[in-house]
Amino acid sequence: MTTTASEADVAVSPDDRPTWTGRFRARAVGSFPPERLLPDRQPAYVASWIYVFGALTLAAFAVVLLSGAVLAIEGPAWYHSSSVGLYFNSMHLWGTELFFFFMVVHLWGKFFMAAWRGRRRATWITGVLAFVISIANAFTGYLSQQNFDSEWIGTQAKDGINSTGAGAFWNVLNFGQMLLWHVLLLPLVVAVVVGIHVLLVRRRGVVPPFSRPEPALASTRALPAGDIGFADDTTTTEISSPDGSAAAVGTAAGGGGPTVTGPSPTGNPEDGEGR
Amino acid sequence: MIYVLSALVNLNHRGHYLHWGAVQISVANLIVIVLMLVTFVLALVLPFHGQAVSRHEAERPTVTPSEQAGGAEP
Repeated sequence: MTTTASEADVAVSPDDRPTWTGRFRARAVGSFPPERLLPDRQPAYVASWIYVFGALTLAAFAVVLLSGAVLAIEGPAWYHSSSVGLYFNSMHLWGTELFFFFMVVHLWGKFFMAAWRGRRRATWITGVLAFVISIANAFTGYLSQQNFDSEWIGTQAKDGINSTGAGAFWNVLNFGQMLLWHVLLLPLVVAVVVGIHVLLVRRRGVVPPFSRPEPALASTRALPAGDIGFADDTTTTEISSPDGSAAAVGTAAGGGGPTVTGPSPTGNPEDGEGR
Repeated sequence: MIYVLSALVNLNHRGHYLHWGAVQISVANLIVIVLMLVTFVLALVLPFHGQAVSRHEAERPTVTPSEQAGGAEP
């Protein structure tokens, strides 16, 4: 009896594969199957404006990166003097303002949803990291303006930074160091952390709103083949509380639709276990 | 056009600050914070444009992509 390649993939454990690339692929596909990585349906409760601000933050981040790339291509002499350069310089500034604006509203929304529920602690922590590192990234940007404002910020900040001891290797009065941190190191770290954050959102799903307790744990059952696991208005998710009792989460934010028991919105059987 | 927009808000001056004892905040930062709060509240109370559609869709049975593909065949 012959065995197809897909059957062989199922039969072989990821740890038994001979190459690290094979093991990596097996684990990646297992954790992020395509239908979960790029879903074509979302839970009904996502139909609320409060769920939009994460995507808006990503859009603003893209504008900041692209406008920053244009600034880097042409250089300071161009973006400080020409009208087009000033336009991109302003786009970079206002993109940053909107980035933080959307991110703070996103943070407030997720905080009041207790978005770390349902094994989403890592999603929350990476969001916090992205926020903190983005502040450092923006700070180095304000230090790189080459005007009296950046000079004032640098001279005022140096005492605070020096008091922490970090000034020994991170000198806010060193323009070259701050510029390179701003255009390379910190954006790279922010992009990586944001990427992990988005992957975790795909892995664990968007946090559902609070609702009344329900006894069953429908989210712990396996989904049928071909079901991408995302619900419409006829479904809800159930998650267990630390004491072992079940709690259903239905609709809340934005006045969502009705609540009926159904499969997990993420399609991940693990999502309902613990908070 | 640039001159028209720049004439609407003149930013070429010293910042305005508000003081409450030890608390000091610039008017610009206060405006941004108020706008974020207003946006947050509006995001909670305003109906989402897709809600009516999704509720209508909820009355129909859920169809997965694989079922859709299968259903297209004669």
